[in-house]
Amino acid sequence: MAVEEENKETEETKKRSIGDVVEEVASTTEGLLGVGVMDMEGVPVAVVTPPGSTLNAELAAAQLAVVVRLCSLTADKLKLGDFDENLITTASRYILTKALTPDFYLAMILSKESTTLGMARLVAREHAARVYQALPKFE
Amino acid sequence: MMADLSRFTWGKGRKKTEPEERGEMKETGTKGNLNSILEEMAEQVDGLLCIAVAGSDGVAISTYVPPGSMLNAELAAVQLASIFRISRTTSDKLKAGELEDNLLTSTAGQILIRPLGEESYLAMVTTRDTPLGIVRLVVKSYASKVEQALGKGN
Repeated sequence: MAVEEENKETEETKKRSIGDVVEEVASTTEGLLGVGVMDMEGVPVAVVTPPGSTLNAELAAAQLAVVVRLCSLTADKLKLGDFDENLITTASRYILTKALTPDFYLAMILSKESTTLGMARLVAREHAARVYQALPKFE
Repeated sequence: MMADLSRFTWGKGRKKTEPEERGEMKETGTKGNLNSILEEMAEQVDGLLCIAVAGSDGVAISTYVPPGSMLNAELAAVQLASIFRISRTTSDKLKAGELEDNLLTSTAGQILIRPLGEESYLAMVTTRDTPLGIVRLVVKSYASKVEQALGKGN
């Protein structure tokens, strides 16, 4: 996985829980309506919806797990390497999913009014690295 | 509206060959028109692997695979139809408004899928190093022409 190779654990991030990192992502990302780390079964590991957001996080987690699995299968069948990220653009939202490991993915839902496509991708890439570092790892 | 992308140097060196030059029969009617639009799109993009126009059921209406690409267009049409449908379902369920497009990025490629009305889509598959801006611009610029060729345009 690209994120896996790109990042090395630092002492600072080692000490922080996945929940803390996701909370921080939520508080520092403009236009964010929801952010979470989920497993491939659609079960949330850490989810934050900022105050005022009407997003149904459980529904989003379950639905986006199906999206990630399908995208992963498609990349595989078309021999396009490993799935990296998927971005659904709608009239009012950017719905971004990014693979963290073969078992977990990061999902972010952003308002189109407050951000741009380039910024959404940049922010997701940056946060994916931090979230990956905070994910519990079992040898 | 005719898309004028001549100001971009990207893909400019690619020579368009007429079907007769490639030993093919020239197709007429909607399909022939659609094929020539896809060929025109292909000229704008380097690193292209496939362009597909297909129904949401995965049945390909027209596809273009440039020489050298090993991508199976029929398989791509089926897989991308599944993504098209799940993207639409997701945007409906999450009350996110109408689907504009879906961009899938993998370690070796990128796929942009854009709806053409309710029942069909236009998709472009490229290598990972093709600038995303070009892919988006070409797909967006030609979507209405493709719709017109399908008899959906105004």
